[in-house]
Amino acid sequence: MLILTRKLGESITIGSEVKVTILGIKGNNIRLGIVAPPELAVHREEIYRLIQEQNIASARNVRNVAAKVHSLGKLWQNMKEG
Amino acid sequence: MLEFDQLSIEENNPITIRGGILGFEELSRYTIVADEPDAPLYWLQSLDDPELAFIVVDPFLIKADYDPRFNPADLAALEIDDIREDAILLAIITLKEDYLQSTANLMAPVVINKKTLIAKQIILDDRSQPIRYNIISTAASGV
Repeated sequence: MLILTRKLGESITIGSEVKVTILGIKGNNIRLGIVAPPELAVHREEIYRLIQEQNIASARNVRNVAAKVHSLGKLWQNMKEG
Repeated sequence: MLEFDQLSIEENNPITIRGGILGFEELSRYTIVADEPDAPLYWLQSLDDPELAFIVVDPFLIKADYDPRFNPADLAALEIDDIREDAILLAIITLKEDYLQSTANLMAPVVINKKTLIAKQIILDDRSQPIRYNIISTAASGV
């Protein structure tokens, strides 16, 4: 891992298109400003992992659940109508 | 109901999910198939891997007050001005062993540009929307 020390207001660049700036420091919290091309997704790591894990859980065994999907759809419709 | 009659999705004109579904980043081409005519649930089916599919639902249908706050840059990248006008949203469902416990991910909907069929799974900025929203209990309570 590359380790750099930066002061408030200073930046690092990653490649030619990504720039990360230290915007604020308050106790344990550091505010980062990130400039990156739109096709590059930037996320808080724990949120990104959470969404990945949820998607993987959603995709698991989806082929074996056709009957369950029908039941869920029907039940949901009945509840809405009733 | 989702307005899929407005989409013309074909094998040679698939939905392209930029960056893929998170966790399946390398697969980007998908199509949508209704589970049954008039059913609220749809299959988001990978065209690259026949084994990969997600059950999806219109989040506005299951949560009437769903009010996703997108980062404007995320929408601009998809050339979407108005979510209701220009886009179709899909919430990915996680089916549970007991299907009554099934949940929908309202925190990271798949947003599709109706015209271009370019899409992205966008993580909402404000994190106010639940990642596991119980769709049956809420339908039962009449929300």
